[in-house]
Amino acid sequence: MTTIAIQAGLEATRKRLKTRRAAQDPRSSMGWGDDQEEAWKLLLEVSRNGLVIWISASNELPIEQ
Amino acid sequence: MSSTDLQQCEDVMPEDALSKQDRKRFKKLRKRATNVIHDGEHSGILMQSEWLELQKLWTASTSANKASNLGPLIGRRKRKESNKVEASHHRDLLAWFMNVIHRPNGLLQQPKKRSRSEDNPLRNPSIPSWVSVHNPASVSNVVVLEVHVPESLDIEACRVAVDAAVSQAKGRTALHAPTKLFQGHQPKSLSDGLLYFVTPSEPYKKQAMEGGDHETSMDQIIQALEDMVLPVDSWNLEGYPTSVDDKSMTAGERSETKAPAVSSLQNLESIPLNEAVQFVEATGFRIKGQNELDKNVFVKTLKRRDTTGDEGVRVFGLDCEMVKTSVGSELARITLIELTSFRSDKMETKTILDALVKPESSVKDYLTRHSGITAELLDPVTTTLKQVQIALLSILQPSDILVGHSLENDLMAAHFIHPRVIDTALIFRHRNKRSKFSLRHISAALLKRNIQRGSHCSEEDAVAALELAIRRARPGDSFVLPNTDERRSIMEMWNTSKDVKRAAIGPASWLQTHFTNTANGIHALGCNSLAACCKAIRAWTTGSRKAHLVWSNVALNDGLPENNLESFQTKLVSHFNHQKVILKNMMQHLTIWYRLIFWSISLQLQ
Repeated sequence: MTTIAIQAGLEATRKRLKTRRAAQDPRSSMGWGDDQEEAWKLLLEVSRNGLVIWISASNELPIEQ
Repeated sequence: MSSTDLQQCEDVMPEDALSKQDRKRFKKLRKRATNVIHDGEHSGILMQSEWLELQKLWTASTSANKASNLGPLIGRRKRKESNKVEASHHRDLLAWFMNVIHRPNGLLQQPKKRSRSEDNPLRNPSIPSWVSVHNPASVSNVVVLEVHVPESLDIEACRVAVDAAVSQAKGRTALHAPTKLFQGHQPKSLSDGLLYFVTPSEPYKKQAMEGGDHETSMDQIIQALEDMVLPVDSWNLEGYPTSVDDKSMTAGERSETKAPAVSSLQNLESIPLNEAVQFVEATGFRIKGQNELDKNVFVKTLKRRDTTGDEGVRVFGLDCEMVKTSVGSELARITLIELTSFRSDKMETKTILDALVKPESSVKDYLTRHSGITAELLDPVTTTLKQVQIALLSILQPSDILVGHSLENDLMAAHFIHPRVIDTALIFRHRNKRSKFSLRHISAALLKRNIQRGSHCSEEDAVAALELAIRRARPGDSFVLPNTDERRSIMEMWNTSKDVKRAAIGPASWLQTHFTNTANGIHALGCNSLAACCKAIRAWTTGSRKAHLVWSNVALNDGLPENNLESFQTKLVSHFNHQKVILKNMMQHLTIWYRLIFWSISLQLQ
């Protein structure tokens, strides 16, 4: 039995989270705008929604998927 | 051995070696193995002894279709097609398969429902409700391949590559399950979602309620809430406003100035402003560490002279929204709700006060994304902080309980001190006693409610905080957040069993994080490239050193030229072709042996 699990954009999301935290610190002068927040949320959703595929080993059985 | 010899051997072989009884048994087992039922958890051959029997009969039977593959099949259960899938479902299924492999006979008893207090949730994992497994006894090992791709590469492209590999390899079927890998704003990896069980937290010990099994009353709730009030000793530590000295705290009670009447809580602007200023200035005080630019004073809940003091304990929820001004953070909206009843385990509330407040200093940032406050909303507002303070003084009594999340921020903004507070951020704080969870996270985890979608709403937040406190107070489940720090890996399920072989293959840093940081019997191989990873997987899934569970991690399109989607597809085909389908290859293997035996016999006869 083989399971293939796929996730996209995890590293980029983690890096962006660090930047976001630093920018939102009250002592920071970087600033974090609404457009950056929207981009961050999109990236988070990309990494959140993955795909898992279970590969069965049979060809004699009727496929009901 | 030449092909002519083999042909001679085949001519000598009997037509069917099965007896009538064996043929009957073979027919029965074969029918069960091929009859897929997707209504329930599992179907087909459930015990390994029966699967081995089927293999033996299949090999002996010359009438069986030798070109077919028969093995395990995973499908979606009927009428559960729309179920949302989470990473924990796949984790449970993997743990279930490992149980199947490890306990081959008598393993498919109905797993008992896991209770919250069970200290080992790995003992009886169960199949997710949307999955149906056919011929589970045929599974001898499981390979998990984690694939990480950059955000620029669509998961759909990977799916197409996998599907192409499956159709090329022949004899395979694929079940696709789009999966939510984590909740909240903290991104988590595939390993975090698929590999670990969270161990149950210690139950929160609630006071036993007298009277046996009956509906919880309002009085019982209030009695339990009183035990959750934050001790005054802890105010300083938790950042709650405290006065400079005790004398200033009681100044309000000694003051001769009369508080202005509050005719309407819906319209705080009707409170006479001059009288409000006069009263607040007379009874208010500055607190320890107060910003020097902040000229406003704090007031404290007073025992109202116009009451007898016998109103009983009331429970309120409070939440404020703030904006950034030249002074710092100032109040822009305040919401106060009251718990009016608690019946049939449901609370009812009433909004007592919900007002926008004009900050005294110029606004630098409306923090609209969080506060929901905009310039258009605040421009026409004339309600001041002092009028809000008068309103709060007119509502609250010292005996009342005020509930909120990180309430110190709300009280600082409102410049108000109340003696009996319950802070849900402290009630549900992290085990390390330093970190606090957001109200949004706690509501999602415990109330199963998503709040603060978009900007915050102070009324929604006040209701959520109040409900969290009441559910915690109510007799029943301990109502705690799961302890995510203490988690157990499904790869470590069989640390004490020498028979179960497990292997982890992937980058060194990943191995260090998940496998090699503790003493266990897991074989770990460091591989960075796809080719090396696939070679290692093949080594651990074939031959005499076959592992029961192989967990691997690869990254595609990560800069290495050989780690691309095309290579991935090619390697997958090779992997599927090398993975032994039990019945087909056992049959081939045994057929060759039979031929060898007959050849040697025929030679001897000659």
